[in-house]
Amino acid sequence: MNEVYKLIQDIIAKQRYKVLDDDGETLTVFYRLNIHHIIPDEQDDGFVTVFTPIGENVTCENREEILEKCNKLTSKVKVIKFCIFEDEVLASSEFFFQNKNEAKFQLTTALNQLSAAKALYDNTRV
Amino acid sequence: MKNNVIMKQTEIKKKLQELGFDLTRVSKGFYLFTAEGTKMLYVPDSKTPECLRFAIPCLYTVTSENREFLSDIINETNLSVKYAKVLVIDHQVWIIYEYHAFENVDIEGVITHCLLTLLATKRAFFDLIEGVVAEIEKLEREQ
Repeated sequence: MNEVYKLIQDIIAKQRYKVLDDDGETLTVFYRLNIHHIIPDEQDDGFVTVFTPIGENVTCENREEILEKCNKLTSKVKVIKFCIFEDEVLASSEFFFQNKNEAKFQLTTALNQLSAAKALYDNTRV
Repeated sequence: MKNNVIMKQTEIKKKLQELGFDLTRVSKGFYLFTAEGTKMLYVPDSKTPECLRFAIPCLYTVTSENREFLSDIINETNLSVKYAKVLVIDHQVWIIYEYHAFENVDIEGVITHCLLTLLATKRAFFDLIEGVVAEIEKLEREQ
């Protein structure tokens, strides 16, 4: 567990976000009715990935349509990327920070944006 | 939490010039410059002035023949790279980096990070294409 991980743990505790899991590599929180996974990078200090499963299953039949939707929404929503990983759609936000205050700001921004992004995905038709 | 700050166009343009880039104003109020031989855009957005945005525009043309292949390559690139995102705009592949500005950050450091990330993402995108092409050629030779 590196310093960034401890910092993110600390921010989450202070913000009183509901922690569902903390395995020393990934912190899983329940925030604004969504499950978000937070992964501080062990190799790259100051780098954090936050991703949110969208809850749509990808099959051979719908893959092309979903990729098109991911592209449309990646273009529409700032900072957030929508990707297919294995058979799931994920929204992700990656950020780096230069100090503790910025880490808090970037994490809160990412969680808010990802929650909004999931709702947007659910309400978007290609 | 409202610690985000407005990124002043003039400040960003000045920093880019200090870093040695020649800016040319193009359509939509964007600024074109070249970094390491790659055309890039500084994309100011008056609607979200707190968001800094750079792009590598028109990296690859999407056609009806390569659309499916490129969709997969773009998805793979987006999974493998940090910070930047690859997407299709008007039948062209773009790479975009967006950053929510925070007070008292080292803007020059942020700009440098953005541009280097865009270049790394471009390399990752073409590496993936070359990898797939090499695989296809190998399969064709074996048949």
